[in-house]
Amino acid sequence: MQVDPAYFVPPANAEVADVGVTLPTTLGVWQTPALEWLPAERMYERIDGRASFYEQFGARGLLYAGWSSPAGAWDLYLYLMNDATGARGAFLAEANGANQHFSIKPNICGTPGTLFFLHGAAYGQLIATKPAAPPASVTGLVARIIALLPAAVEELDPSTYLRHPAVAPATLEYAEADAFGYQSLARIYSAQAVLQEESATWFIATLSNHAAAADVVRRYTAELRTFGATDIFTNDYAVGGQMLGAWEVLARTNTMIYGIRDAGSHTALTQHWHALHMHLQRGPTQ
Amino acid sequence: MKETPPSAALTRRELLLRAAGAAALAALSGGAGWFFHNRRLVPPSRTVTTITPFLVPDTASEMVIARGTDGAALVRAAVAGLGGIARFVKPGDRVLVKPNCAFDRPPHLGATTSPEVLGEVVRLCVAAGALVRVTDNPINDAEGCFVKSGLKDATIKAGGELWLPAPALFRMTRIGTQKITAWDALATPLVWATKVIGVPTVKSHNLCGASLTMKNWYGFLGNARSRLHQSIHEAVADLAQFITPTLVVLDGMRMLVRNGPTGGSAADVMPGNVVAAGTDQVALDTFGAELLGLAPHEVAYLGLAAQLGVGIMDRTKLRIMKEVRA
Repeated sequence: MQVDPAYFVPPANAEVADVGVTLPTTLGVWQTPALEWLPAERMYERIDGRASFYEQFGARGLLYAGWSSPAGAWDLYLYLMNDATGARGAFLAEANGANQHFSIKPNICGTPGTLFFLHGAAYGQLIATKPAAPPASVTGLVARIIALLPAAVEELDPSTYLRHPAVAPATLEYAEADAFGYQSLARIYSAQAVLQEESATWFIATLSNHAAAADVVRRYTAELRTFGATDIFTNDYAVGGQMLGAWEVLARTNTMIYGIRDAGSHTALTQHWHALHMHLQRGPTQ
Repeated sequence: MKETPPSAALTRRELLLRAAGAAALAALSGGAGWFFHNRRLVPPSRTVTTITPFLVPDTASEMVIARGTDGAALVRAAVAGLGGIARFVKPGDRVLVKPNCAFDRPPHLGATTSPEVLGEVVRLCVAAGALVRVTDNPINDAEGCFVKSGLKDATIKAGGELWLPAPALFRMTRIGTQKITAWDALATPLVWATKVIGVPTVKSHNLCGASLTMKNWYGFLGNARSRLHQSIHEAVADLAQFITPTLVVLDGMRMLVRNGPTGGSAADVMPGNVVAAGTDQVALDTFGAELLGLAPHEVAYLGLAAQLGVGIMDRTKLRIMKEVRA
C-alpha cells in the first residue's frame, strides 16, 4: 500500500514501509504515538536550515519519533543515507567522539541527554527531553532500533579513507606496528599528499572503540614529548608539534585517529590537516 | 482590559495546506524556478502590509555588553547600562518579544533562547507597565517548541502571554530590498505591537555561519521559507530591513558553537556567560559572531546589512558602547 508520508500517522505496530526501514510504534517499554517520515526535500520541516548538512551526506530522509517510557522521553532523529559512507560521514561530523562525554560501543556515543548511533546507512540521534536523563536508560531502545535496521555493511578498509585528489595512490603504505617509529601508532595506513606544492604524509587508523582512540592520542603525546618535539600544541582532540624541522599532528574522532606528518611549515600542516579532516567527514571513497 | 491572544497553533494539516497554497501561488507567478535565479521576489498582487520601525527616538547606535554567570542579572545590568527599560518601554505599550524558539529542543542544547534571559526581558517590560506577548513561528509544532525549550514557562511566570502563530495572523508583508521584497509574515502581531524586542540566542548555523539577531527575524516568516536558504545572506540582510526593533537582548549564556542551528549534543554548547543589549543589529551580530570565533568577513550578511544602512560593524564607533559586569 502506498502511504502518503505527509499524513502518515500509523496505528500501533504499523510500519514505515516505503523507506526500507521497519519500525513499530511499540518497542519493549518504549512507545511512540507516531512515526514521521520526511523525505530529503522536506527534512527542513523538522530541522530547518540544518537539512542541507545531511543532504551533503546523501540523506534520503529523516524518520522522526518521540519515544517515551517510564524511564523518560527521548526524540529519535534517524537519518537514512544513500549508503554507509554518507552515514559515517554525518556521524563523524556531528558525533565527534572526542567531543562526546562517553562511548558505549564503537558506533554509539554521546553526552548526558543525547545519544548518537551509526548502523549501516543509518545515523541516529536520540535527544532526551530532560538534560539529566542517563544514557543507560535509552540504550535498550537503541539496541531495539538497530536490530530493526538493515544489516550494516562490512567496514571498509581504512585505506579507502585516504583516496583524495591530493594523495598519490602509489605511495600508500601500511604499518602493522611502530609506524614512523612511534610505539603508539599501529595498523597505520599512510600516503603522500601534495597541496599547493606543499607535500606531507597523511595517515589514518581505525580503532575498536572511543577509549582506544583516546589512549593512542595520550601515548603519542607522551612519545612526542620524549622525542623532544618543540612548539607542541594540544587540545581536547589533537596534538602536534615540530620535530627535526618537520611539523606533525595527530587527531582523533570517535574511533578513528588521523594525522599529518612531514609538513614543511605550520601553515602547510594546517592546510593538510584541514583537507584531511574535511575529507574524512565525507567518508571513504570506493 | 487585558486582551487574550489567539492561541490556535498551526496544525500539521494547516501547515501543509498553506505550503500547498504557496506552491500554487508560486506556480501562478511563473513557476517554481523564478525564485532561484538571482531575481528579486516579486510580491503577488495582494495587499502588502508594511511594518513600521519600532526604534524609540534618540536610542539608536547603543550597546551594552554584560558579563557574569546569572542570565537574569545580566539582562538587568545590560538594560540598566542603556539607561533602563523605561527609555524603551512606556506604560500601556504593547510589547512583542521575539525569542529564538526555532526547535523543540531542551534549553541546555543551546538551539533556543535561554529561558532565564527571556523571562527577565518579559519581567522588565511588564514592570514597566506594558502588555507583553511572546511569539515565534518555529518550523515544528509551535506549542511543543515553547514547552520543550522552557520558553512557555518563562513567559508565563514573568507575566507575559504566549501568542502562538495561527494562519489568520499571516499576511503578505514588505520585507527588504535584496532578495525578499515581500513574504507571508506574522503581520498581525507586528501591527498590534507598539514595541518589538528581539531576544535571539548566539548559535552557529551551517549555512550562514551564525544565527543571531537578524537571522532571528526569520521566525516571523511563514510559508515554505526554507527556500530563503538558497540566498541566505541576502535574505538575512532583508530581514534586518524588515524589523527595526525597539531593543535587542542578545543571549550568549549558552552558545551553540558547533552543528547549528539545531545542535543536539551538550558537547556542542559552551558557556558564554554574556548578554548584550542594544539597538544596532549589525554591531550586536558582529559581537555575536566574535563569540562564535567568526571574523566579520566570514558572516557575509553582516557586511550586506551594514551596506544597507542597518547598522555598523565596528562597535567602538557606536554612540554608546559599554561593558559591565554583573
